Amino acid sequence: MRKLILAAGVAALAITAPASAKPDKGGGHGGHAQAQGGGGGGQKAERGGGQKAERRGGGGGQQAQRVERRGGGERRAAQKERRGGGPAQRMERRGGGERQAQRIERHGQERQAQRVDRRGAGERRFANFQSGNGRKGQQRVEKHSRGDRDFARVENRGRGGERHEIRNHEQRFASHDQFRGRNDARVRNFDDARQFAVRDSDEFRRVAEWRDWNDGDWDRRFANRGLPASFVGCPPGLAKKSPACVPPGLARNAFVGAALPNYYASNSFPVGLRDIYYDTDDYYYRWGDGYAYRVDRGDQLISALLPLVGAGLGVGMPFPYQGSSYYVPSSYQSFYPDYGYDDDYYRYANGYVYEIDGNSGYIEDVIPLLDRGYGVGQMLPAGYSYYNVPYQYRDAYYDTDDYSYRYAPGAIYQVDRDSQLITGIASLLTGGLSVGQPLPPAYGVYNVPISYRDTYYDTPDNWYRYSNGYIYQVDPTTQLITAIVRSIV
Amino acid sequence: MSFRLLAVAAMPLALVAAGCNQSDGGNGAAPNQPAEAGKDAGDQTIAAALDKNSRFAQAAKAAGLDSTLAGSDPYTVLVPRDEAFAKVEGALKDPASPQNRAELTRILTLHILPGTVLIEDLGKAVDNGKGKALVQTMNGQTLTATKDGGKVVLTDASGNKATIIEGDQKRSNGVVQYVDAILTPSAEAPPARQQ
Repeated sequence: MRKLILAAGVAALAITAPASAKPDKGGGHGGHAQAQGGGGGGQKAERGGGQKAERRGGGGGQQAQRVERRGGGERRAAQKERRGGGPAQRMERRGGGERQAQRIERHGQERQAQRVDRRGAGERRFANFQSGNGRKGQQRVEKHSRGDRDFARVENRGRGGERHEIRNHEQRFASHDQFRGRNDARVRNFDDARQFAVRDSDEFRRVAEWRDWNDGDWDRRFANRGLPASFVGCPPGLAKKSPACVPPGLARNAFVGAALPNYYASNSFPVGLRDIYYDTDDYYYRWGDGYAYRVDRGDQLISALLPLVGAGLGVGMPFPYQGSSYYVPSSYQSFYPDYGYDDDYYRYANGYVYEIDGNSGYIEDVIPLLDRGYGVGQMLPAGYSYYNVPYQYRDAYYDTDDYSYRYAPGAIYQVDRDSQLITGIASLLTGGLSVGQPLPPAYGVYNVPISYRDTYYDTPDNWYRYSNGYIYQVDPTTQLITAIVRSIV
Repeated sequence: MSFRLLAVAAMPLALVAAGCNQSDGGNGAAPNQPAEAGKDAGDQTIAAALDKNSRFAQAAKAAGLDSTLAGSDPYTVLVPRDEAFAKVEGALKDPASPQNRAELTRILTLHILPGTVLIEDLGKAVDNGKGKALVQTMNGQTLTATKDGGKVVLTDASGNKATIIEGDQKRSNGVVQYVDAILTPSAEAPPARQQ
């Protein structure tokens, strides 16, 4: 009996130990700051940090548990278990304190444009989108797993090479668009004078390579549900499969005043968006092919068409502002650096970043920024079909059976898995900071969350600033970011 | 003896049970804050504390930012008083229209700052910056903070000014500062670099 009781106690302690280990929450000035070469924040900080560490660790509080949860183990498997399993399973599953250190190390090496490449069984790396570091001329093959499906994508960013991934928008609002409220909506959205161009005859073939044609589920989820042609692999302006590849101008002509195609009849908007696209006694809304259709209940004809993707110039079109300056907002420059006019280059206009082929002057990619592009009720391009949430947010925002979470510049979006429509903005992100870079002038204001102010407060030796889930340490003299001292999301 | 053994065995089991009662905090769960923070900031999120009938709250809901402000990430929200909405045009006038959503998001995110910024913090930054300080917004653009008669004034790229008239309302995921005017993002981002 005694042996039995002792064995139970030992087993329980083994389970509990990781929870009270709390590798990154107890530090304060005496924790990670020192570990990473940063100075302390004075006596008060050390006292406060130490007390906090003890209190939270021993109490098994929420913070402690969150950190412990980030311990080793394969993330995807953990998420699956988390969805299906109970809390006890989570406690057993998680453990270890190495993850935080790994994350910090990684973060120090990479920049904001983090994309997680999944190579094989759980191996990940951060692709670096910065200038330099072999940004140009690199070819990347990514294979992304989501559940039991695989999404393959080949992206060639080589000099003079082509991008195999096409994720852009073929719709735009004309400036004279009208949408007069829900009960009197009238939409005139498209400029029919737009011209599409296909640069060479091989383009379709290359796009087809990007798509995993053997993935039947991919077909069901995307192509058959009516995502815009350019998102699922059709060259811009060319119809592979009508109506999935109808250009915007033709879409208006084809759909407004026509009956709603049967394949859209069941495409009701996700519940979370029905306060935006809500049905009335006179109208109801359906979606498909990148548009919201307002259907008149009287004659069952489409009376209005509203693009679900942000406005802008499309891939394959000539960039109309040739010779313009860089203009990319400073918070996005690390994502889309200035290459001058060398091969592919980036330009900003009307809320969009355009990647332009240096030889032809044609647009190769369109990246809407949060402030003008994506928003609730809009659609993320299929290029965001894989889980790409930054590491520090992965425990907070993980895919569920109902929703996906996707990172695009400016935010983490909650996306309805069925329709691929954005149903919420989970978190707003700035351009971010990274170790070694100068502190942007706009971060001169102390902004550490209240909960951490007794630990991380400005001193003559160190400043502390919050950005995108991390608290950073800054050298006041050089204004350089010297360390990530805590992850707090 | 057996009682002592039982106590030793039961203690870690109790710890396990306590740990299991915690939620995992993912996907929009209530923010995880240390206990002492709760005393300062209360248990209400910014979204929960906003007056649901206020124009700002309605606009935030229309833009889908209400869920953002109910999450765990820390923000400072500059909330214009309802009177400031009296003369607005465009997206803020009809926030419910789907067509206005992107522009609405653009305007509202200019009123959201990363992290927790108290009035005192802005004041110190202005003093350190010899009268003015740049302030990062979630829109990507910056505001300029200055002082006027002891109050902090924020100016956007177009020159619109908003004075913090009441604030430092601490919430579990940040702080709310009330301003007397609406700030407007610039139509185009200023040229960051010229070639």
